[in-house]
Amino acid sequence: MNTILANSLNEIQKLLAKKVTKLLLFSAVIIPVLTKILVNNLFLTDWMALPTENINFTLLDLFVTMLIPLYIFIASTDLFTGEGERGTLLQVRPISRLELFVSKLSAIGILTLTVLLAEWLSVIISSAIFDNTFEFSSVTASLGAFIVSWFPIIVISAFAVMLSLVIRSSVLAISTMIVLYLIMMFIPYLLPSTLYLLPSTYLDWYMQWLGDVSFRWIIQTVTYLCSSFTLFFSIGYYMFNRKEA
Amino acid sequence: MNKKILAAIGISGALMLGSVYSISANTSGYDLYKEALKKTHSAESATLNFNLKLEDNKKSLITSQSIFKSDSVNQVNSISTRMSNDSEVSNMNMYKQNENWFVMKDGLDTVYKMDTSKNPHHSNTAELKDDVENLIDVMTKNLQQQITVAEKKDGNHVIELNLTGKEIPLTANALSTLMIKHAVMIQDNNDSDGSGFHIKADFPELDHDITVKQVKLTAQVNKENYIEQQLVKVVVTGKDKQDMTHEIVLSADLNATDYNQTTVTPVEIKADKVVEFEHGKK
Repeated sequence: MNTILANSLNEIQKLLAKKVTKLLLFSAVIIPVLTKILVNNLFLTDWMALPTENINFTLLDLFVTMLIPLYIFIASTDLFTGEGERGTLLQVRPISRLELFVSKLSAIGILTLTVLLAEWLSVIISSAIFDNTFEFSSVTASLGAFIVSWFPIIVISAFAVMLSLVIRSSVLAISTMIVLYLIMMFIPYLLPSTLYLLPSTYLDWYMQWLGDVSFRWIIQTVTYLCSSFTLFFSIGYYMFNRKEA
Repeated sequence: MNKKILAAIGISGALMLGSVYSISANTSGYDLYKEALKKTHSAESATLNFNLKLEDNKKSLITSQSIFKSDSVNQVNSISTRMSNDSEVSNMNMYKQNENWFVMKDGLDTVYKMDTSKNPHHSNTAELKDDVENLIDVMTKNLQQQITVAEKKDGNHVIELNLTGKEIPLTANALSTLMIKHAVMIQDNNDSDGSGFHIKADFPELDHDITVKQVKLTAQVNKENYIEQQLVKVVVTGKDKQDMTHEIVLSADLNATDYNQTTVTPVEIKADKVVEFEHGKK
């Protein structure tokens, strides 16, 4: 367990050294502030009173369905395909293949959770400063929504990691992921029956948690998220295990 | 080791497909309503009682009661509407026969004729409908799970969708707010015009802090999958120029009876009293 933790920190440091990670963390803080300033001082808001919480959730949507998946694609390509290309993926280290695989994946998971929490803090603070209708009672609900959003993101991470192990070239890997993600976003409009099969459908599942949550629905979606994570994880690990040092 | 991984892949794959199947089956309320709407549209004839009520801070602005009889086999329709606000009551009868609409208003001797054969709205193809249906299916995926269905003892289903505040999608809220604001402005422009064909509601001029507070839809679907009753309630709040808060409630209540059993008898229209009236033009 300690080796996983130690190597996760190591992988996080690698990712933090990248410009794109810094950019994402920065935008997680600055975008909510800018949005709040804009919304509260724009001509539109003279006459429109959109629920504050709604705007907060739209900000969450932007990150959960666009920026974070994009970042996941970059990070997993870098940690797997990129290192494979550079030959640093499977160096002699006192760590088993499984531990290495888990720690790389959890590095991505920890960073995305950090981004979500940073965004939540920024949303809440800027909302408290700029919104007249800010209510303290909504703080816990929105924290819940941000944390709940993390689970489908982990599934997308496992999916991206799986792809990054199948494809050998970084450029090809990242472009395949983006194209596949766009396809996943739009294919349900043509074939509605595929909707619930795609992991991208569940990215905004926090919306379901806002109203009256049905117990049956929780079991079904949690089963989906767990099983699809296991599926992508096992396929990814299988590919990773077969790689020759 | 490999066997374990393959087993994990197999089991999780099966579980995933199982959960997808059960989630897809969840939207029964939405599907039930959609099917009922389609079936209702395909009915050959029906009698609809349609009541509309608009209230501002619990004070009635306008009410209307309509009885709509439709017979799509013989292409004959009749609508009789009674509209009233605080001070006035107006009755209006409309008939569709021989491909034309005829409008008769209480107290007026003339009959207005609207030619609908030139109506461009009839070019809907089935293909387009399917595309729109797919679009709506996907766009409302988060709302679909909020629709509840309850089965009553007599076999009817009650479908309900109740959205308040933050549950209403931001874009929908913004768009309807925009429309309300525009409607107020257009009404301002039209005030001097005074065509007097309908009774005007004394609609409060919302100026700021406009928001859609609640949208509620309740529908009752009978055993034959026809919609028997449908209630739509929309609550909008906002403030006028004097900073007074208004809560405007629109409720539409539809009761449908006599599916496929309604007969509409064409009325006699005296040709010398007919005036051509082009929709949308003066």
